[in-house]
Amino acid sequence: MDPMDTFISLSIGLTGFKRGALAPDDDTHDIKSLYLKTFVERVTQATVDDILLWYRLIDKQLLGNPPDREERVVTLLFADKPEYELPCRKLLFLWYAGAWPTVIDTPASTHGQTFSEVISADSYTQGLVWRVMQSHPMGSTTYNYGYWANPPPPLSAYLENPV
Amino acid sequence: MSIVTPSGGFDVVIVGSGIAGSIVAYQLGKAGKQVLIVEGGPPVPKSREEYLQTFFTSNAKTPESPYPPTIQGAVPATDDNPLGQPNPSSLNTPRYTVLQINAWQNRNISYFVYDAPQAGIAPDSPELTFAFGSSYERVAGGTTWHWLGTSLNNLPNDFQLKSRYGQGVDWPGGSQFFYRLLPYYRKATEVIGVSADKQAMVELYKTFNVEFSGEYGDNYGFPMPGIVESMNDVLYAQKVTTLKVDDIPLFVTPTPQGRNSRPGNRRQCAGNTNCIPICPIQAKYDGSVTLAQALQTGNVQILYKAVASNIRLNGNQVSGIDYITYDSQTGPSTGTGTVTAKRYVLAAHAIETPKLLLMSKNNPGWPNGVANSSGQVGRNLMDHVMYLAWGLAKDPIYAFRGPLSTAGIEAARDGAFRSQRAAYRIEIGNEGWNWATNDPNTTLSDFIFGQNNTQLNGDSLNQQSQPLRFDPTLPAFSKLFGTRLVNALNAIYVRQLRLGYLIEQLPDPDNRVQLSSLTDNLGLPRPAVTYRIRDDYVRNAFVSAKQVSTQIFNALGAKEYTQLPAAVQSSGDTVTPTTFEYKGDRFTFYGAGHIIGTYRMGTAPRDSVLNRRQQSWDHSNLYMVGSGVFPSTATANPTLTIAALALQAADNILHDLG
Ligand SMILES: Cc1cc2nc3c(=O)[nH]c(=O)nc-3n(C[C@H](O)[C@H](O)[C@H](O)COP(=O)(O)OP(=O)(O)OC[C@H]3O[C@@H](n4cnc5c(N)ncnc54)[C@H](O)[C@@H]3O)c2cc1C
Ligand code: SF4
Repeated sequence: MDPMDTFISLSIGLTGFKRGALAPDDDTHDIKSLYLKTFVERVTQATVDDILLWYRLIDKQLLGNPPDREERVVTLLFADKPEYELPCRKLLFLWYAGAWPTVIDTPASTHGQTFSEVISADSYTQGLVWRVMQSHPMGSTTYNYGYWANPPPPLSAYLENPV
Repeated sequence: MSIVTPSGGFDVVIVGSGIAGSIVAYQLGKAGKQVLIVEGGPPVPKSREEYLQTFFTSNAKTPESPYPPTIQGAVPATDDNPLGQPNPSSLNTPRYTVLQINAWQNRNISYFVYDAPQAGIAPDSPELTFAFGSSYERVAGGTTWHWLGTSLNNLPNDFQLKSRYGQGVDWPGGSQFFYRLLPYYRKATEVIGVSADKQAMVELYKTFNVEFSGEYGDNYGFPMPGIVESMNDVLYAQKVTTLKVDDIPLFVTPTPQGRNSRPGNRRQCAGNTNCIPICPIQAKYDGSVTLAQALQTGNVQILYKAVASNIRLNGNQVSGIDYITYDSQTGPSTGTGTVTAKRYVLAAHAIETPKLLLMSKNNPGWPNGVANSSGQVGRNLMDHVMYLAWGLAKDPIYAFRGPLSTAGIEAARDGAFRSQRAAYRIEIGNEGWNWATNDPNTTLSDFIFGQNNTQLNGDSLNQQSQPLRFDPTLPAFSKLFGTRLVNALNAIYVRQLRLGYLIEQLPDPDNRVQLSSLTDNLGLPRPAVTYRIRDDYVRNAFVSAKQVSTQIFNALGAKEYTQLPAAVQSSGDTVTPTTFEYKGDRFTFYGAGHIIGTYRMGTAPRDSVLNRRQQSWDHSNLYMVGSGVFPSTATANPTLTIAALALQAADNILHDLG
């Protein structure tokens, strides 16, 4: 598997979205490349290489082909390599928010808070958070007047398909 | 841009090209008058894409985020300035922004200069001072770039609060003010191109005993049909009719809005859910629309990046306005000039207009500034102070879709209760907890990183003792990923509800804008602001709003998530900006963006700045427009009234010019 393939499998496990949504065949935005690059920049190449290596090792050992294969691998990855959980969660946040998070531990009462830095205009509009709410990015829609009076397409349509 | 002085000189100079200034310019230009606008900000960009891109890449998507000067990432981030906000002293046109509210005591961040609250002051003391809650823009077209578009009339009783309820002040002429303004209201809805359901408005105004004429008369239809209501609105409409506030039955009214329900001169609203901070397709009206019309008359010229800095007097007449030009926002000034005309109009909104009047203090015989023999300039600063409440509906209502608000509960805008407490209108939000908790980001980080800033992922109870943890089968502070994250987030976002109460505020002479000793990059003083909520009249409305929200959420079968604010701190590094205690409870107020009252109209020169023609009592060739002229906040969002009054002022000026 090339690193991008593994990166996408890892991202499927983390985000709960399907391959067709994260890495569509006709991928005009190619947001996955931006995110892999950002991941490397923020957590170092060595860490990313090691996370992807571990992902592949665990994946190989998994018997059968369960439909939630990627999520199972991520569960095992977090159990085997707890030090990789936080960087992977930051990657998860990146996919959803299009922004790289800084997690701080105050206030203690709420177990900390998160600030984030938007990577690009594209990453903002491609954020999965808009899709998990069955909507569109605030400030960018392809829907037409009045759509808001009716329910949106089912959640599965947003999880499976490209924007 | 070079200005060509007409052979007979300019008829009128206008300071500011927001909706108010642009309306006056357009009306006068259409009538063949020669007009010059002095605008402190940069011109409208060739494409709004420029502002939109800045918005997309902004980390904090506040109302000001798309517009220059940049409000974040301007300087390297530090611990006490994590967003890299610029120092207002380094900017040529600084303005107050929402991000500055939490930093209100930091003079390197907040443009407004505030004193610290009095030492040892009690959290429920009426003397407790606050950060002001509302912001504005300094670009061509003005603050309507980021307005929501709500376009309601005030009510006759809003104009006679004193004589009817013994509160605040009347507007000149009391309820007659309303009837005189009606034809202008009608014209204003046309200028803005309001979309509204006339029948719903007739029903509403009937409950306030408004006589049908003008806008509501038989022969009038709104420029466009009403905007389609959201699924959210329909739920409220079904459920609130079981409720009363102070004996007034509640019902939902679709909001008249300055956005296109049909394609017209501008595009049809596509529901980008981004009216604040910026409509990407200009389906929503903004001041640049009228500014363009004004310039197209061929009789209106404009100077950009020209900041009015002083008003000159000759005897008791204005004889010129001085301005300072600049090229880049942090660069040096590039020149100065003076413009002259027969009449002058100030339209720089309710902070910069009084500041300009107060700065102009070197005219012999006018040491307190221009138009200020009453001492009222800069006083009576007001806003609609907002109470926010939020919750989760039982079933999906699909938040974050459509315009940010398409309906409201208007029924409690007037009633006998007004002898005791302020009135409010209730805005129904379509944007989930975007305003309330900065969602979607806060819910997202709560469930990814095991935090609980939304109360959805912890152990707490709401104020009705219901457990707030979203999924009782999960432990508190859960960290989710994959399908479980998808399901939790989806179920939360699609149910998010938000109510906002726009509470009227009374004029208080000690709430004021003055000149501070600090300056901006052009050397002009930054405003010193003092702001309190002293009146029990206003505070009582917070008590009411809180109770009513709980009743509404109960009627909907929703669970309330409104957070109890953290305790008030009146000293130290983290002085609370907008929280107070009252009757044993604690409230946070928000700004509505409605900056009102700092150069008010009145019936006597002794206690007002302008007569009801919006003409200075002191200088008959000086007019002022904008919500600074309002004697009280009244109950409608201000801009339709600003527009109506600007149209009226233009008629008055035309009359004067002959
Ligand atoms: C978030 C938000 C939402 C809002 N939503 C609504 C709503 O739904 N409904 C509603 O009725 N109202 C709303 N408002 C209020 C509305 O935006 C204002 O009432 C309106 O824009 C005021 O118009 P104006 O022309 O008086 O001032 P502005 O639009 O502020 O224009 C003032 C102009 O003066 C210029 N200027 C300032 N200083 C100088 C100077 N020294 N020299 C030269 N030029 C200068 C500025 O650059 C600007 O162009 C909202 C406001 C905010 C902040
Ligand atoms: S909903 Fe969208 S298209 Fe409609 S006015 Fe608001 S931002 Fe513009």
